[in-house]
Amino acid sequence: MSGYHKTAGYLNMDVQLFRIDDRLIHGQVVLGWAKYLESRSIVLCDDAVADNEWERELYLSCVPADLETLILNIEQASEYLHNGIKYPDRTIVLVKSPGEVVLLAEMGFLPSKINVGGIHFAEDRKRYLSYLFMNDSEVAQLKALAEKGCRITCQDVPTGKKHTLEEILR
Amino acid sequence: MSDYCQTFIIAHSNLAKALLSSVEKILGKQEDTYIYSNEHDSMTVLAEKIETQIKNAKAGQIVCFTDLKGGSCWTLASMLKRKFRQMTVISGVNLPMLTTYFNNRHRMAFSELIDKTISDGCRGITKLQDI
Repeated sequence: MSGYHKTAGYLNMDVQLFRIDDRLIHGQVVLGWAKYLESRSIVLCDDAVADNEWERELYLSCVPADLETLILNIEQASEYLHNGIKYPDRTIVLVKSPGEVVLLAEMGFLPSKINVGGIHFAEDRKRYLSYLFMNDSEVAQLKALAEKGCRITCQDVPTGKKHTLEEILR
Repeated sequence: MSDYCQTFIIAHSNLAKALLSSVEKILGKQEDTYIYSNEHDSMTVLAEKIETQIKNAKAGQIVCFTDLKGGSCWTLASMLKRKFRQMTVISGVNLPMLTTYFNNRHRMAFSELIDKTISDGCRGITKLQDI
């Protein structure tokens, strides 16, 4: 299947954009990236949102009709990604933190590339970029994913500067 | 006459600050008005700041203006409304809307105030006819 290949026991996936963004579906994603990339679909993978009908409706209410949107919990997401995502090269996959990617990896699924698009300030987090604040465990999770072979870059908006993970952790 | 009303503007970058300072240039200083940017803070941190402000307030109406419907500020306001049912969330904030709101918030009945705020916000958007 196009976009899928296996390395070191993982099913690797090349989606159009695999993004870590704690704001999930918001302006930068819908108006910024989806327009720029001409995406057809968004797959939001998050246990809390998937289990809350009100939040699901809230996020879905903001997506234009031409952007097919799925909201899945991590287990459903793993299944969906394994069984063949509908438009791999026209889909944005969204998770709110590195933890969700680690869970997907534990289920045998690893994105080839990760775009870190926004993790914002909280008390235990250190600042790396204007839109990127992480605590030690989030940094460790990203490092572990990089060691597994994920290419991780940080970029908030399509015209923004792309930083590699090594560069920002230096 | 409206009840006591606490006002929030939550927007991207420096927009909330710029909107309030523009309103104050036109109408003068406004009380019980709080501005927030979604820059830097996670939504959890921002929600806590706003909730603290709401809890400190006297009981009454809460009006929350946000810029983009579907943006993170609006999503946050929608989530706050789940906790604070008396909150009114208005998206698409602009200066015509705010001047109407601040000019009338102590003069009009609340529901009338909100209707006029939104309709004046829309009415402020025009295309100048060819001269």
